[in-house]
Amino acid sequence: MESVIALFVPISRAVPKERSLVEQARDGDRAAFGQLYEQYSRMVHGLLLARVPHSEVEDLVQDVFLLAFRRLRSLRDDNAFGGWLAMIARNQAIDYHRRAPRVAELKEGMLREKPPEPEALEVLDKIRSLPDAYRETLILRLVEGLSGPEIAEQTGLTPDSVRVNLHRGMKMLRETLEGRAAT
Amino acid sequence: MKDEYLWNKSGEPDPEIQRLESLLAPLGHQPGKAPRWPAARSNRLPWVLAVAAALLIVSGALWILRQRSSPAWQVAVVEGSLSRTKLATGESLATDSRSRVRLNLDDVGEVDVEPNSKLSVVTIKDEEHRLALDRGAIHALIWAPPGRFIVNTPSAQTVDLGCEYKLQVLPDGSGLVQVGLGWVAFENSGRESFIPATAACVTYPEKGPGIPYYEDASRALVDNVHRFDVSADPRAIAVILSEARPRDALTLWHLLRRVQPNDRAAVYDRLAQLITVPAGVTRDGVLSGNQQMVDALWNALDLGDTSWWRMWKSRGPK
Repeated sequence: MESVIALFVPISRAVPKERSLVEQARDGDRAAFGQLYEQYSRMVHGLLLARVPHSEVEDLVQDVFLLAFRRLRSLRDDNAFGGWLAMIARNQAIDYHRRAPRVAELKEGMLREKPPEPEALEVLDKIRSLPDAYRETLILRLVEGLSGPEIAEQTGLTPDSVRVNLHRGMKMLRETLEGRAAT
Repeated sequence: MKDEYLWNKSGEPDPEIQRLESLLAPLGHQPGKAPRWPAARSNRLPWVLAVAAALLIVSGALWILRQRSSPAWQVAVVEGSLSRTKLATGESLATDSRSRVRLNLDDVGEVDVEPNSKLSVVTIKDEEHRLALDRGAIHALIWAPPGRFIVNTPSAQTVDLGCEYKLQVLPDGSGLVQVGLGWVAFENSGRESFIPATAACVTYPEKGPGIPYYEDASRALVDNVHRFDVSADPRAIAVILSEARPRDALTLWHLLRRVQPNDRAAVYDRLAQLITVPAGVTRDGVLSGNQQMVDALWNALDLGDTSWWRMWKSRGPK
């Protein structure tokens, strides 16, 4: 059967096609920035989740994009947007730990949200115990659902290094989880 | 090869990785959350300009007050040509193959009208802004409160519940909505589909809205959703169920309400594997069509609560 979807044509915001989303966003186009958010929010979420408590991540994702929107004029190479955004996310995580309160605060809506599965948090902790490069790529792959090529494209890492990190990280994670199962 | 599955999700799936994906996916970024915009870009303006802008705003507000008696969408040409500069209730515009225009209405949003489109204004009221797209395509970026911006198409009406989407209408009256940010509801004669960010949905003449799906779902799932929409072919159901990822619970929830009663159990059972069934929801209750339980299942998708939609509908848009 011919796909119904093939009958429709891709449409985009009515701007000259040669202008990149980053360029449009830099000119204050919020729809373009919204598309960047859509494309990169999982990557930013994953990098933060590799470093800060799960309950803090959504707010920090917003902070990262807000900061990126404000600093977009300082980005010289539009093609480096992903790597630049990843750097902002990592820095935000570091800042979070610098200013994090010692006592957890109760946030609005926290009690209404369904708590994560304990086993999921346990596995997340195991991933977080891995070296930086492995935990980032594993979280982006297993938690955020990005494929290896997408991780490479969005973070600015080479496909080869992502592939190596994924395989080595997965091997270490399996060993860690087997250790857990054996105890 | 299992390594390929870890790398790019192709090849033979690795059961351990699939289990981890299902377990960990709820911790990931949830679709539908829009960026929180900065309040203003005024930090780029020198203060003198800011003062001048404030004066302009005051005079602009006075001008707007004078215009209130005849509200109209402002029309700006992006490409090509069009003589019209406003579009009021009851008026239409048609773009040719080389023209593209942008409509803007304060407090509502912007609508880009693609080439070869015909669009008319049905209503401009505070509580409802309704357009009709007879053919062609639009791209809407809406900042009006949810439920107030509606677009009629020949086969369904789209209700904006968020902020950004694309809508196309083919000459046969079928339509496609693709949601970028927020939410859209497709509705026709009581048949409704809820489409969150990054999802899409086709609507069909005389049938109304089809089943929504995430645009990153497998090709087999998407093709069989369309196959089911068009022909209600029960063979499509099996493919949809086997192809569904946890995220595709969105599709299964809609499918649950569309299949024949004897297929409902299979859909429910697969849905129950993909999501955590809320307390109080029973298999028998869902299979017998208990609306509260079906709504509770929706809420378990973590895509927002159904109550706002029901609440909006109860206001009775015309």
